[in-house]
Amino acid sequence: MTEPTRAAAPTPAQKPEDDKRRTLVATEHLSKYYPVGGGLFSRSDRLLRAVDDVNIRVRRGETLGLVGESGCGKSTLGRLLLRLLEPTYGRIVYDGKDIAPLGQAQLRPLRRKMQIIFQDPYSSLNPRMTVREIVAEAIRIHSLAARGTEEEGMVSDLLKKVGLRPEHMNRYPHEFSGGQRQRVGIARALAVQPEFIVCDEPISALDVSIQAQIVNLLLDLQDELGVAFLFISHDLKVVQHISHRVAVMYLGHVVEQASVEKLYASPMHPYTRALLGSSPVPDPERKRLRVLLEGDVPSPIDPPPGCSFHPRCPRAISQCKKEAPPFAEVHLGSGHKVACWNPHVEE
Amino acid sequence: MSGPNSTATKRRRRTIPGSFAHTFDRLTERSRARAGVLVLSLLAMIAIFADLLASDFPLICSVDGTVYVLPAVTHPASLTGLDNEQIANAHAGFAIYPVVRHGPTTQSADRVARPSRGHPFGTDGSGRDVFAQTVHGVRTQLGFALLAVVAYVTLGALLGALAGYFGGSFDFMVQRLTDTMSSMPSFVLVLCVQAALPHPDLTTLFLTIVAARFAEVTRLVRTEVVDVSSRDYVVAARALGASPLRVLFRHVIPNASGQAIVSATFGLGAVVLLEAQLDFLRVGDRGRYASWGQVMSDVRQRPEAYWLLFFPGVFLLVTLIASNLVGEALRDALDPRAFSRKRR
Repeated sequence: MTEPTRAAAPTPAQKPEDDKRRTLVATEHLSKYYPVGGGLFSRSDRLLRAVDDVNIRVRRGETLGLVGESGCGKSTLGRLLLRLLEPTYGRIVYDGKDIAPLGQAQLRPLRRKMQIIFQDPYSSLNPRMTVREIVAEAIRIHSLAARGTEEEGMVSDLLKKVGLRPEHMNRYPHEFSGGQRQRVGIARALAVQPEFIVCDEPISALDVSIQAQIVNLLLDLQDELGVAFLFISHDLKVVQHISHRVAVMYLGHVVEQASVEKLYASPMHPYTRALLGSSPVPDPERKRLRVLLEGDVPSPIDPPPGCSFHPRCPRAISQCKKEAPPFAEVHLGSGHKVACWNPHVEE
Repeated sequence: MSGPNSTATKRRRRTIPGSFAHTFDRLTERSRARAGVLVLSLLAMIAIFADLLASDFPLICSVDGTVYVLPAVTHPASLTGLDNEQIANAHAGFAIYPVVRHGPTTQSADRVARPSRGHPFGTDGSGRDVFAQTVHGVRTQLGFALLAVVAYVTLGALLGALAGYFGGSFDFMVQRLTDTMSSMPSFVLVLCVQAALPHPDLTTLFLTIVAARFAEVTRLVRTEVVDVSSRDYVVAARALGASPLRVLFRHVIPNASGQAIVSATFGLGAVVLLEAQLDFLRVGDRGRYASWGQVMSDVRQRPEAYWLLFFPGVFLLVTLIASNLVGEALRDALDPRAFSRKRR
């Protein structure tokens, strides 16, 4: 059994105060529009704005939590970052280089650095392949080890790293529980020694007792390997626990982004406040700041003019209906960005 | 087939849902499917050993001091022009004869003769032995159908997989093509083409059947490939940098091939029936190979000759039932909902 090369892995994560830490992934005006309707001979002008003008930033070794309701574009954004979907517009800067215009062949070396973990552990593993084949496929594609014992050693190390026993490698996915399958998915992602992993709701399909195990596994792996996560979830508590910084999405836009302390202590965007207010607090003494939202999420096909949240916003002013708010810091240098004309500012 | 149950259970626990081994286990669990598989195997045996059942030549004979083994297969020059009777009367030292001493294409003077000792299934309108035609018909009918099915399923599956996986304008064109082909009933299409051709033969029949039937497979496989392509393990393989062909052949096709296999099994029966129908209608080339439909069509001249309809008809019916039994059982065995029922 050979030790995998740890030297190549980046240094372990520090606490998030260090602002100078280098950006690993950033998006600039990233957008993904889907044409809707339209027949054989007529192209429709109507667009579904799944992701619209998004600017986020993930630093090395850091976790950016991404929260929002179902259908707000979280997963689309995650897959855009990995170029698994083609962006309509905007830049994706990975390690200082714009990867949005690259072709699939040019992306291949980058595939080693960016990986993804999926929500559904039942559809994320090929049912016809053994665990060994699943994990080794990554190794083979990038020729990271010679076939045979070296490859087997790598696979068994990876399985140990994610808390599975090496004897499991000749089993098929259906012989595992959901949590174990999720660990196999994580081992597959780690096989190429990535710097950045998109975790697309990796725990929402698991039992609560298993959720904690997977979250702790991800935290340990980050400490050990210094890998950066984009952690997509609708579970605000888990995001608070795992993230260094958090971005909130609504209807394809990122409406607020701040460090986890600032965002949870003093949310500025009315939507963030409503979202936080809606999640139950296991403390009967503490009063929840409840903001009840009226109406439904508008369709991303014909979003309202101006700020897309204004029809449901309790703090809407006349400007909100006319003009989309810029995504900017309220207090310069605070790192707390919000897209709102009338943000909730304390003091 | 008759193995103890414990081996089947043991194997089932280790096999992957949806895999061929698993499918086979589930297939042989069902008695109707087992009957279907058994009958198809029996027909295959008949096809392979047709020359032992009915032939113009003995199985083994010694003529003028030379021993010939299976002269019907080896066609030795010295026996050309002879048949069972002449060998028996004139030349033979010893000979072992097949069950029926007539080949499928040899015409005798007895036309439309009732079943008798020499002709257990009677003879047809040209004096050919019905038993020999029926038995050799299994070979020609099933063999031809098997070739045609393999060809159109391969073509259809490949087109469907490429269209479903790569999408775009190629997918659009393939879909319009399959729509066009599916709008015509395959029997009518094959009938018209064979009737219109100046020299219809087995090759043109083969090509028309492939053209008439691949569209169905294409559509089934395309749908399944589109479904499989959106699964997370396919996205994961793309995220790992796997090439499109690797993704297609390692991840998509193995998980999308079930429908094609089911359709091939049903197709076997359908093609046999199609051939029989064409021969019954006397479309295409006649007389050079054993055919159930040709024998049956002779009943039009002599409606009281029940043996012309009955014996080939029974074989046709049995073939159709067996292929449908296996097809249905395969469809059930590959049904993903059935797996989850089993798993939980």
